[in-house]
Amino acid sequence: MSANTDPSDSDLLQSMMAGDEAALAALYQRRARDIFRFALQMCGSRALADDVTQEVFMVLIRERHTFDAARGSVNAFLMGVARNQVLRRLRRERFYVSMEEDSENDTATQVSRTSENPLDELSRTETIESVRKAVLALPERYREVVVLCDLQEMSYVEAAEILGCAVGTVRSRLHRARALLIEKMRPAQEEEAVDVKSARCFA
Amino acid sequence: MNCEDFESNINELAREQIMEASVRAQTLAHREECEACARQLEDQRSLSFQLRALAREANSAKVPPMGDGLLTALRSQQALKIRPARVAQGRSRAKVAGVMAVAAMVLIVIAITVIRSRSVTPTAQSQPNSTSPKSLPPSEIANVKAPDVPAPHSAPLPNKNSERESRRVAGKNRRRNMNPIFGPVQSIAGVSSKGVTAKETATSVTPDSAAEITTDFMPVGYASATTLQDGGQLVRVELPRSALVAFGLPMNVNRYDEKVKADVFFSADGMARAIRFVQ
Repeated sequence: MSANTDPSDSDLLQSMMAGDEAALAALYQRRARDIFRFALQMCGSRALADDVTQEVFMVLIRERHTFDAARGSVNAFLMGVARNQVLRRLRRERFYVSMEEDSENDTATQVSRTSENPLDELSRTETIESVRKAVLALPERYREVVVLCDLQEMSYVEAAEILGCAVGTVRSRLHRARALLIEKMRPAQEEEAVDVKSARCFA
Repeated sequence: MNCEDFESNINELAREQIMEASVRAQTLAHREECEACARQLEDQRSLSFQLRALAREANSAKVPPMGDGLLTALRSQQALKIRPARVAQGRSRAKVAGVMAVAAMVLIVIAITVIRSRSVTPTAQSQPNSTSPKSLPPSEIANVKAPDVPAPHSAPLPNKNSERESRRVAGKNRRRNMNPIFGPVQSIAGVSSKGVTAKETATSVTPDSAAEITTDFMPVGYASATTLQDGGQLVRVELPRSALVAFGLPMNVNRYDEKVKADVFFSADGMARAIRFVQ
């Protein structure tokens, strides 16, 4: 029943264009999570993801006339704007080095506070961290398909709509991206194995 | 199924996507046959597992709340949307105001024209009622024209033709801004025949005044037709007889010590504009 009564994204957008602030709040509530996650996974910076999320809705307000329902859904439009914003910011901040996050220390402290089995949790956190680094190290065109299809669990069609390319292109890019990820993560695993061996020798 | 076909389907299999049952079975069968492909599938499944863990962690991240900037931007956009309509309204109001101003000016001009025309017409209309011989009974006209008095050559009773003629001349002078000397004379002649005002003319047509002999009005100084339009006052005065000489009239030397009566016409600004002598 609630699905029938809930207004669609297009309805909310129409209301928002008429000046309804509640519609803007509802649309933000519904779509901000996906945008934020996409930006966070694409750039790895929470502050930047925050900015991108706000900026996407700002663009929606200012340039709402650019939205064409015949070309795609509101969600695809928002994710497309988010993608453009992220790529623009990544290119702009390519020459800067982030000093804000010391992720290893943060995760270690977090693990020691929350987990019942600290060793397992630490290992899991380290694995996640290595995957995150591997994803962030991918070229942008491969990274975005991994984020959309694997992390956001979208279909090829949805990803193609957001990226503005063919479904086959998304499929081939994802294939290549996953192969690159496996290659990137393999040396780390082998290195860990070497460390373990050397530790045994020293023991 | 060969290794190449297996590789094309390995992503879907590792990501546990929906795929055709037959293709899925063939892919899994190839895994049993090819050790390299089995290892590859294992790596892919491991990667999918790790990516899901990363996705779960990202899901737990807190989404930033909607900033006030968005609401402000929405309001300002609405204001921008409304402003052109207001500007259009303002422009249409300005147009209406302009049209009304023009209409008001036209009305003012018409009103001034009407008022001017009326200021001339009443004196012309009032004359026949008060002073015209036609309005007087024949017996009074007989009283006015005293039989022993010579014909009043200088102050003839106005008839219709002379009135029309004097009005025509006065209008002509007004339009052409004529000679300052002759213009007033004509006007004064018109005024005198019209009696300046109905009241004054009525008094001048009393039986006493009818017995008097008057000269024509003679101009005193400069007077334009426009200054005489506003009317004036006729004042009876007594002057030394030498004043006749000053206006070029003959004077009886034997009566030099006697005064002579005169009517002086003062315009609205208080200046003496014309004079006539009375006997």
